[in-house]
Amino acid sequence: MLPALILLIVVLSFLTDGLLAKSNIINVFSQSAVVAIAAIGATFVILTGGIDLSVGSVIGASGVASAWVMSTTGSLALGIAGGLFAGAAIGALVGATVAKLKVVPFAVTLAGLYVVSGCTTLLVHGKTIGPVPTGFIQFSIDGPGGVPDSVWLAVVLYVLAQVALTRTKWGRRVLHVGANVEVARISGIRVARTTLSVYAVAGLFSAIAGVVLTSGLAGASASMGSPLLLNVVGAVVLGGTSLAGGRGSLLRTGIGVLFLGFLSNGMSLLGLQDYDQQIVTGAFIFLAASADGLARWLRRRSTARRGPSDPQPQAAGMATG
Amino acid sequence: MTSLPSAGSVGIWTRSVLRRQPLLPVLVTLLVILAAWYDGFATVANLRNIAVQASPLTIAAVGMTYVIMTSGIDLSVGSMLFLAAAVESSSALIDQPAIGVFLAIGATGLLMGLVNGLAVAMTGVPALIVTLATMQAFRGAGGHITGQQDISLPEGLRGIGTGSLLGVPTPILLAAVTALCGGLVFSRTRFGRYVQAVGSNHGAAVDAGLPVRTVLIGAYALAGVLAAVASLTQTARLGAVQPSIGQGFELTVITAVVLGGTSLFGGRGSIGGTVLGALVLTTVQTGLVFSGSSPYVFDIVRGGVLLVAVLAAGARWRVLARTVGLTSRRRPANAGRADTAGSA
Repeated sequence: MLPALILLIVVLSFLTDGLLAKSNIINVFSQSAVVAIAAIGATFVILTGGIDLSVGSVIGASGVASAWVMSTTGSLALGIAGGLFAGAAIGALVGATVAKLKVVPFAVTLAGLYVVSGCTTLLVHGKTIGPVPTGFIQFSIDGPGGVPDSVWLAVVLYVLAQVALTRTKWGRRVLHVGANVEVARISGIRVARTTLSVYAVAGLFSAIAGVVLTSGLAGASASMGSPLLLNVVGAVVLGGTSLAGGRGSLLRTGIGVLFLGFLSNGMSLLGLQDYDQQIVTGAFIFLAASADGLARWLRRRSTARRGPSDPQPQAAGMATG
Repeated sequence: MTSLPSAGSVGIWTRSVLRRQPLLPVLVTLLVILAAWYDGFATVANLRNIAVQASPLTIAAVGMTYVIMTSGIDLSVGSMLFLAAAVESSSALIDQPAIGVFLAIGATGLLMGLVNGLAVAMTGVPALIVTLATMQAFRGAGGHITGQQDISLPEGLRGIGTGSLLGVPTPILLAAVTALCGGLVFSRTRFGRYVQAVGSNHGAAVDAGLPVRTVLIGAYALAGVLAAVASLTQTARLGAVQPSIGQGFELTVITAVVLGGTSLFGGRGSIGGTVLGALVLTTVQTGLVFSGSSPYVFDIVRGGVLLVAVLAAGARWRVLARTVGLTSRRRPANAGRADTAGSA
């Protein structure tokens, strides 16, 4: 995926003025921070072979929760804690439904997407919640080295999440569950508990993203996260984390996030309308998702034409894998 | 699945219908309660209104039933509705006769369905991701055509939403014809049997030499065309194309299908159930309108209904699996084998 990102940056820098100016690069990073943080949670979920369609609603709900606590109590810390708690609680609820009640993740999170956003909208009567403290707004504007704190936070979270995935027991359990549920169960992993924890963690990261977005917008509304769903899932897919689960990393997701960030920034510099940007983004994710499978299909076709034998590798792969 | 047993007393017949369509008593109970609760609910005008409102949902849900039956999913249905409506409203078609516009819309639906179907069938990428991406792309394309403006439709095109034939409003007729054809194709044609076979056991269908890719492409293409037909009835009734059209429609459509008893794992389901699912959802929505609650309450309700329906389906399947008498007749593996014999 890295070559594709470099190619994109090279192409866009020829097409536009000022793409690689320092201020614009900082701009790309700060605009990507929210998606980047939410995509960490989505990566964990997809690594278990699941999907979380509710990410945008959870961003909205936790942002609203944090803004509401901040504006009523006046306490920054309480507000952040409230937002994070809301997101993690929703995530745990989703995880419990997936893991304990054995409902397919997409159905749970599709229902969750509308239930959560509906509840949030009703609770706040469709209004934007604010004001939030100015120090909190600064978090998305400025920081060490002229780079906003929100970007630094995203970087730190990526390092922590990558360590958690590759260097802790929990991370290994997540990868095992995603690679093969049956093998994981037989080898003593409590699959339901791991799955539940993954959705709770995803809810927590969505909540962090929601709090950061609230700081960036200087307030929160129920619907503020809903356009982000495709970008979050798309970043994971573009990064090359396997949708079947078990294979992937946060480094890949990070590259996917930057790809979408530069793509969106470049299109804005080119003066593309919102709806045209939707077409291009959708098409890129569509192509990225299909590219692997298409190449495989073409290869299969060419081998099928050369030799008549087809030893049914699927069945063999299932037995050994 | 839509055919009824030819012999037997009324009691057996009733039990058989209830077993096949457990949603029927739910719908009736719902209607009775709402009629008792709200004045003006049990009027002909209101019941007709429910049926008219349920029409686009029913039409799109018939297509979605085929997709889900292959154990796929189509999240792009709302965006397909919008893009088809955008094509309908585009200035290029403004002076065309109505039939030309209908053909253009149908072609748009077919094209969108083919994009989804080809990607799913040829690449093996999960339908969820493919249609999540096209959901965005189609909505963007619709926005490109309409410029994100409200566009009112010419009088000639509204007829399909407001007109009637022999006293029956055209949207209801269209939905009834779609459901009838959808049910017949499902139970009486090779394509219908193949769809069930592919959904119940993909690997076995491949091994048996069924044209699995063609079946998948066909299911998504059908869903695209029916989404376009749904958009015709929807926009004609509204008289205009708005940028928000079809947003959240995927949840309603999928909920209607799952509520109707179609398994999200594919292979099992019925068009009759889907029609009932669409009617139940629309009745609930109308009841909420009567109660004066916010439209967001319907968001919560249909999300909840989807969850309950999926949970209930799981429970029903477990019960069915234990009751041998029921499962032996409907076991999807049998359908697959029967089709194998018929093909080649």
